[in-house]
Amino acid sequence: MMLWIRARRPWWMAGALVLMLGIDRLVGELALSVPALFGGGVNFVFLRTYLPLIWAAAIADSFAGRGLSIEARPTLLASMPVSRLGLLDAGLFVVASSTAAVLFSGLQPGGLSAVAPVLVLSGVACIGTLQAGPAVGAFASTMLMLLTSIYPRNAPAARFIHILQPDGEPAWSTACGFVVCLAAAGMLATNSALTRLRAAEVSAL
Amino acid sequence: MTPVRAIVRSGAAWFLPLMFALSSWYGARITFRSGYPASDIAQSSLGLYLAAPMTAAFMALQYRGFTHLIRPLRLTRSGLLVVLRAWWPLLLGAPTTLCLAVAVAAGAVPNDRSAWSLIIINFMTVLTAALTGLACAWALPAVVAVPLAAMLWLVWVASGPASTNLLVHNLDSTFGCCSSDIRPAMVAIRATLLLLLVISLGIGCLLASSRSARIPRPLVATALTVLVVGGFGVGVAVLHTSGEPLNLTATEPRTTPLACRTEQRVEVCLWPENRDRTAALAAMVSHLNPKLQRLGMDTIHSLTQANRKREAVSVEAGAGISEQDMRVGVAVGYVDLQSGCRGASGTSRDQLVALVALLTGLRPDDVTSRFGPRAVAGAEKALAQGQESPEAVGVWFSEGLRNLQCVPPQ
Repeated sequence: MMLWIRARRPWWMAGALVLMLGIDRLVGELALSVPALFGGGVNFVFLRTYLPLIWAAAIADSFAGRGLSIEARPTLLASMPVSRLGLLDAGLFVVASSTAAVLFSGLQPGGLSAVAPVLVLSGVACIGTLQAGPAVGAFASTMLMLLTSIYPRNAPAARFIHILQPDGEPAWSTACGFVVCLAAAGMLATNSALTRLRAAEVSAL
Repeated sequence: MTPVRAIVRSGAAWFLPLMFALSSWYGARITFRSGYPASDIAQSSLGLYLAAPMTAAFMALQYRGFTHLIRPLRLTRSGLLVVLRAWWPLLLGAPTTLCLAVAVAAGAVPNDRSAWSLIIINFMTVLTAALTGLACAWALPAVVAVPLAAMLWLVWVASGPASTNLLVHNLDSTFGCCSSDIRPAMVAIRATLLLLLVISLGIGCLLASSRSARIPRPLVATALTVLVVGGFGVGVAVLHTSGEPLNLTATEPRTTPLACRTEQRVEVCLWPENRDRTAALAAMVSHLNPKLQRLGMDTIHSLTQANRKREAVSVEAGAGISEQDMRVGVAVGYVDLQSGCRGASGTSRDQLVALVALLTGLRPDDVTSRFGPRAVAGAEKALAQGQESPEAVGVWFSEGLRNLQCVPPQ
């Protein structure tokens, strides 16, 4: 169990959560002026829109198994049944991401609709990490944030593309968040994380 | 590393076409084209908002682990050469791709110093974004470097144009330039180029040593911070010492000469790119002048863009201006010239403009959509009176001019 905790580095997750909430509390309402083409209707974006990327980076880091050296990884795999490892990973992911989403949205006026960005980015970062490594997980979530941010408000279906932005369709964004998170949890439960633990990882250097 | 292998390994083979497609699509979102390459390129440089953060993130992603890979190499080759041989497809390909995307989106080929300056700024911005992405991946773990590089560039490039800080506006690689009459301010171009050069050359120097792969990560992070601060310092110093006035759009009036031609006894002075509109404008005025004369109003002898001549009617004739807009432009310019006031507004001024617009041959519906039904009704009423006594229209027009309340430009 200790090896698993070391592998997943929950303290980094907690640190990222504290950092995200702290920045949100201190400067989250800082309005970044942007061209009206992709501003929130009144050509500004709140800094807090981008903060869930901090959490996504923590998720990518955690499920890469970088907390354990290459030599220690066989010991973890030998000491814990594969099915249990999958369930623990999925549980950690669901609990940590839900907690982060609820705490993050609790600070905001939009209420529960603000859970969507955290859920979506957690799921995308996790799936990217399991498929191709933590750097790709972080890149995927960053690109999703970037592309949805600059998608013009007057372009077709903008409300449904802005799943990470406050002006998106809340029900659709939240549904996307749940689906992506479920997919990520499913991958973890079915032991996709093993691939990462077995990989001689240079991905996140 | 062979060129083909470098292109495949760097990911440029799929990343650059994707970046080209997205940047040109995004750059083409603003569809008003003036026909002035510097203005159209400045507008289409909107692709930069996407290309700079995307390149920084992708470079950080691809460069991860490279320092560890080359660390055991013999210490005879410059680190910069090693990096260039492996990563030239991204370091040079991404800026070139953006410049091509901007030119395609603008539908323009640079033809003067301002337009080329904008292309160079775009090139240098994406090159610097790629190098900072590289430096971030060198200094930090990739999970931090990738989002950090992308978000810093997004915030810098995207939030600058709408901020109220003069220095940010004149250093942020974007220009609020969108008409034939204004061009990017050269002082802003110089300052921005120096900022970008200091950062990119600094990262180049950091890489230059054959021992660069052995520089500790915290030192790289510190050096990067110093370079960014130093770059800003140089940029701000250039802006402050230039003595030139700064503005929030980082633009200045276009000073290149107009192309003048006399046709049908009307002198028409337009920007060179609008020369093909000369005949149409001259024909319109030659039809309008007899009507003005019959109504006892002054005739038009000279038209100009950019309000260059005090005695000429100022007109709009850019590539995005329709035939109807051109007629309205002549009407507005005529009223402005006659009243000696470019800042007038209100219904009485609209009535005068509507009258001249109707005389240029525009249908009442076309004028109503621009100046409202009240202005058109007033103008039509005056014209109806003119059926019996043409001079009455001229008197009505002169009284209208006298009653205009001129608002000085802000």
